[in-house]
Amino acid sequence: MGKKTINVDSLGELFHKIKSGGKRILAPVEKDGVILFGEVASYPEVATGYIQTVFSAKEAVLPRFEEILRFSSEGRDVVIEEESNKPVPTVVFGVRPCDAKSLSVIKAVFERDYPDIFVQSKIDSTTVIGLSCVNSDEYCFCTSVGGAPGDTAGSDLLLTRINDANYLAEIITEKGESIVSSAPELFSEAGNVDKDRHLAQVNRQFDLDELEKRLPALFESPLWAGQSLRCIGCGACSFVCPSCTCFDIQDETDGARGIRLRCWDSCGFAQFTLHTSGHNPRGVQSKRWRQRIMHKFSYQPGELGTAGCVGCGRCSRACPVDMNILQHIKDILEAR
Amino acid sequence: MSEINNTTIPEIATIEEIKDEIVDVKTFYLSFDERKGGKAPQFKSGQFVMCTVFGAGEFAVSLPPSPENDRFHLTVRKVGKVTDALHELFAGDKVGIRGPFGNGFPFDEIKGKNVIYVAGGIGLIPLRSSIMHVMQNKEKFGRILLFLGARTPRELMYQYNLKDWKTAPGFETYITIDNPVPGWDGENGFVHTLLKKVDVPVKDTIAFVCGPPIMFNAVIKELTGLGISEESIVSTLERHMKCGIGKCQHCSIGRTLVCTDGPVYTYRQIKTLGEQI
Repeated sequence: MGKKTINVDSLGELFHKIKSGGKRILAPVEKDGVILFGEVASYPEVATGYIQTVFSAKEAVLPRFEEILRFSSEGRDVVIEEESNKPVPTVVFGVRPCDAKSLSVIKAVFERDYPDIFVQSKIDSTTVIGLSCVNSDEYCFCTSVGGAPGDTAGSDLLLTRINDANYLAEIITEKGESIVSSAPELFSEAGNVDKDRHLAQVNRQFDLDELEKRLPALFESPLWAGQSLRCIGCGACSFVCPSCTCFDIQDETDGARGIRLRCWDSCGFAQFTLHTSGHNPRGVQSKRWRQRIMHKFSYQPGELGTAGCVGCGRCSRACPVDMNILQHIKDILEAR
Repeated sequence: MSEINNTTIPEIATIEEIKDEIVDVKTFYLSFDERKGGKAPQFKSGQFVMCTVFGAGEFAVSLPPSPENDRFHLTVRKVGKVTDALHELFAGDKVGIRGPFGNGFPFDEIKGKNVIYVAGGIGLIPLRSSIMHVMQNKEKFGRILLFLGARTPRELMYQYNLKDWKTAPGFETYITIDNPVPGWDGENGFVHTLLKKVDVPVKDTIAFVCGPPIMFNAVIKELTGLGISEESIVSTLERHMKCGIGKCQHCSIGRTLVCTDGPVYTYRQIKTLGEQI
């Protein structure tokens, strides 16, 4: 929809315009030495110089805890109050292209069969200002799963640093256009810019289609047990994953009043599939690890038309026992 | 998808009556507070609902025979936190219902066929809805046979229905108890052994199987051994469920989600799922 440039020094003013338009801004901020998405009041609070936030931007549309209803009892009567579910209009700033892409995975999951109003309404009221990657590390593999350090998919407006003073601003959607048109004086027409020259180099390391093709035949392979021997089932990989969407539902009550919560869950947990009878169809960690890989690289491509992985590398960075997904995928592709 | 609007927020229902079935199993008769005449939403046999016990949580449970012919009720075994809490409730207390969800048992597709039901223990609960539906239309079907197994005579579900079924014309009932016990003069042994003792129709036959995993596997072996094809064997799968609407992934088996694609599958489908039981 158009290409502009914006001066680095104008971002403060852009933030001001967005906020005065009634939107909250989530952006990477440093807290106790860790970079996380958090609400910011002004541009100088935004962290710089990081490869990847520890948690992704998925919390903007799929919070780790969310009340879905409240109930209260009076005598034997029960009254249910629905959550008003009016999300705060939000701009998420500084979303890496991998994370922006993950929003389409989340959208696809929550649109399937019955539309989910909680996620849908948050997606609708969220504007994504992406930030292309100029650096990467050994855990990044976006280009192996159909992404790229400057991929526009999922962003409404994508910023790419093209020199010390300026960002290229690619307008991808109408939401992105409305950000630009809210402060047109801050943007200039971009001339011919060779964006790719400014992006990180992330080499393609495996063939996603080949992986999808190979996986069904490996269902009973001993490799799952080998790879997951050291897995402690902590679920960190799921919690940091931008495209993991599994959730649990729990009721909490003090007797007369209660709430129903939806919260993040992980297929890596032993209790995820535990029947109340004690029977567990995924009773060992190797089956849970197999589910994680199969779901992301075999089932989701078939069911949703998109892999459930965007190559951000967070699971490998977060794993306390150094399970590296890239290495495991390469080993899976070499398995006979 | 059907036009249900309670996918997330339960509808409140009042427990009107509670009936003891067998040990740890009760039937709860419900009236929907906000619906005309308290009547339940439309559903198909083989579908399920998510039932809330306020403060304790929610569980998935199979549905009774059709809403036209019966008072809406849920038969529930006391087996965990939420079902324990349900069993503590009295008539007049409230529960929440979401649904119906899931695909349901085939009906129109199987008209003209012989129908075999094989149930182990409380596996009869989901099958009863199909049995009653078929019985009400029995002129449209061939032979109708029920093979039922239970650990003891006291654990035979729905004895009041069994009494009628045993004498119903055109309905063949075969019952077995695991081990001999005083006062039981019927068959003994696991339910799959009954299939050897009866002249079971094979051609144009559909078989519904419901019960614990070990029983399921033994029955499948027997049925396929008789020559009944894998796509003519139908069962319902059970999974730990949370949302019921295809989002939370707790009930995923391979590419399928038991809550939206199931819970009713043919054995041909079940075989290809992996980690199916």
